[in-house]
Amino acid sequence: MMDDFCKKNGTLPTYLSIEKHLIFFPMADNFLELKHVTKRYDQHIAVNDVSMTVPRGKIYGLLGPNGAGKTSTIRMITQITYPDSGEIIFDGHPLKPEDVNRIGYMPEERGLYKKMKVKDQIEYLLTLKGLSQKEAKVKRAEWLEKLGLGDWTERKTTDLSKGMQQKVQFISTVAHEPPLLILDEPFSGLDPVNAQVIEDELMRMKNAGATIIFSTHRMEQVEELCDSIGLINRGRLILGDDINTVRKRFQHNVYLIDFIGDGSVIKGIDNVEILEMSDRSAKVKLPDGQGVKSIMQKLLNTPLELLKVELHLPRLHEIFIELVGKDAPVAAQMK
Amino acid sequence: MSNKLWIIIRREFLNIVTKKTFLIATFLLPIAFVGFMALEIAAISTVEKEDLTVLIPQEDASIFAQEAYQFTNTTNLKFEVVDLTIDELKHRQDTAENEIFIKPPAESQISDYAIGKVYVYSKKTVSESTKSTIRKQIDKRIRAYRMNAEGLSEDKLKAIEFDLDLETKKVKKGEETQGIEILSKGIGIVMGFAIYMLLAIYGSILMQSVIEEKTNRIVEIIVSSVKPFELLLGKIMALVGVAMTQLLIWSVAIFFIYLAAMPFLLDSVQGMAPAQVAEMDLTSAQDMAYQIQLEVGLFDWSILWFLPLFFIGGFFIYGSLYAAVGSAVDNVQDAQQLVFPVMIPLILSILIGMNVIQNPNSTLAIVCSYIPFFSPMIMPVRMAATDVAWWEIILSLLSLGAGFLGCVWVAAKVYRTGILMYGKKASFKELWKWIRA
Repeated sequence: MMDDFCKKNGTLPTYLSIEKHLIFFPMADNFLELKHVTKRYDQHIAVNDVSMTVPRGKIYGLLGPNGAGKTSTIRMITQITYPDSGEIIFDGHPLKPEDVNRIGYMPEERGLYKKMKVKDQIEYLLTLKGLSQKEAKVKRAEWLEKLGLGDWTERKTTDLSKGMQQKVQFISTVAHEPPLLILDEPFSGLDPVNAQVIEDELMRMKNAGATIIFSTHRMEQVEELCDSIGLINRGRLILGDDINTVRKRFQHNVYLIDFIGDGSVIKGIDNVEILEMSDRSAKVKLPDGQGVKSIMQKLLNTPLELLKVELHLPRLHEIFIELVGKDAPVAAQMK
Repeated sequence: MSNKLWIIIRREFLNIVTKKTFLIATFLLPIAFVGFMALEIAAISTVEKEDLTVLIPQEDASIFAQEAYQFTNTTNLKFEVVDLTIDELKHRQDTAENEIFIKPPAESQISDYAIGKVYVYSKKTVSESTKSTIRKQIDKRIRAYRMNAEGLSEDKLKAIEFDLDLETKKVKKGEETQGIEILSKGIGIVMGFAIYMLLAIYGSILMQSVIEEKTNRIVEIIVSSVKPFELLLGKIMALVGVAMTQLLIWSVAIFFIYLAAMPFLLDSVQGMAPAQVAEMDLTSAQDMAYQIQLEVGLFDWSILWFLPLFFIGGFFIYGSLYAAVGSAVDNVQDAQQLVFPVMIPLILSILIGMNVIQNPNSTLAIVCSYIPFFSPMIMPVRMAATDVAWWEIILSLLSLGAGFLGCVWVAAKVYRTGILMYGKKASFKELWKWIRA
């Protein structure tokens, strides 16, 4: 029976027993799972056979150039559209219509009713997420107070600054406390102070167990906030993993060395390619197969006083450019 | 009905009825109606009575040729019995503008008089006061005739209610067309036009609201909570509710205005038998009010029960199409071109409606009262103007229902794609693709 299961799941029965065991609880760790999801528009394939897993209680960065298929992917998760083929597993079961109430979605293209009062607006959107009028009212008051908008309850959207509107938007998205949050460029239009407020809230919700999918062009935010990433290009998921695993995988055996002394001795070491050099530091590349041990040994044989020897993990930005391609017009947008 | 649909209906409904423009329009119209009525009455009262020659064909003159029952000339009307038939009169080339001819009830009808009919033929529209004078003169003579023939006492005769129906026919190059009666036709026009106006106005309000949600970018947030179809349906239903509320307010207001105005206008004839009224010399305004009151009593008001059904059906058809157009564009300017095909049947139906008032039983009228795009306007007009069999009404409503399902289905397909398309206006070709998708 176990073997049958393994065959069905495409895993080999020769695996260690502990790994077999894990197969029986494959979804326990993943809040969301896309399996071979494809979406076509007309002649154009927006999402092409994408399989991805979003770990429970983590922040997942969904990256990719404009038009890569991020929004199309998100729209299928939020059930605004439906996949042509493939399957979406939500919290252990195939996605069903009622699940929309358990998702909070803030699209990149977002807005509010101009002439509607802040409180009516938030309550309306929350009741559409399944809260009762009463619950919506309580949550609305609580969140407006928390984000410092308590005095603006009775005002109309047009009276609010852009940043305040963003906050109202954010409250409408999260106040029903959904286990899955999908935020597309949540920080755009926010000043650093307000961005920090939102960031703190996101971290708090994550620590409370929420799973957050976060789509952005800002790589430093991804590195700061995300636990895992998925990179989509031309409708395909070309990368999807834990963020440190990804960075490690894309390291090119480059080391950063801080030292005191005459750095020119580094040039004399065999098989070391110097990428950058200054009075106090150097960036060097070792041949494949040689690790930190070999460079350490070689450096210890020089008169240099070593302050730091560190494996250089590439920035996400660099990985992104490497994968998506410098020639692509998108590279320019990824700054 | 799902809970979320109610939430949407509630918001959309409140969003409109709490707007100042809605309140102004709703409460200003009855006031405007009173003003209009007052002006109309003032205009009628001051109209000079026209000088007309009333010709009576010898062969149709019946008792009115006899010396005792001859018509008496008034300041404006000169009666003359001529040796021509109705047909000859109709085809006579040199009929003057101020000549009309009548066919009073035949002697056989008169002696067994319950409902008599008098036809009035004319080139141009005959004023209400002229019609009233003719009606009164005939009525008076019939009473006199029967008093003599049957030996009834004057008092007894006065108590008898006669119903003398007067039908006007317009004669144009020998052909006759139906004249317009004040009320039954008037109600038809008002109802058809009211439905047309409400569909056009509320249709474009709906369209703008869809465009607004799209340009505000709030629509994507909403459809992540509800299905696009629910949002569309909720918006249409809310507007039906708004329109119904408005119609109800107007109907109640007009009803009370009518109740309040009639006694004032009919002061002098209040509580009198028609026979007594016939003896009186009323002013034009009083005369008209009196006719309206008579016809209001005779009108088959059960038609009003069907009016909301036709309106709702029509609204789902046109509302859903307007919403579909709104979803396919980014701003109101772009909507102009796409909305044109939706407006054509709407405008056509009011043009056809004008014809249907005149000829409620023509093939055109009958066919159009079964076509869903036209029936919301045409059927009420027909029902007001003529007797329509119950099965015809049912059939019309069934086809309207089918039409509405079809339109909502098509609109939903366009809508769900259109609302998520930003930055461009869809072409007809693209719309067709969305519908087939």
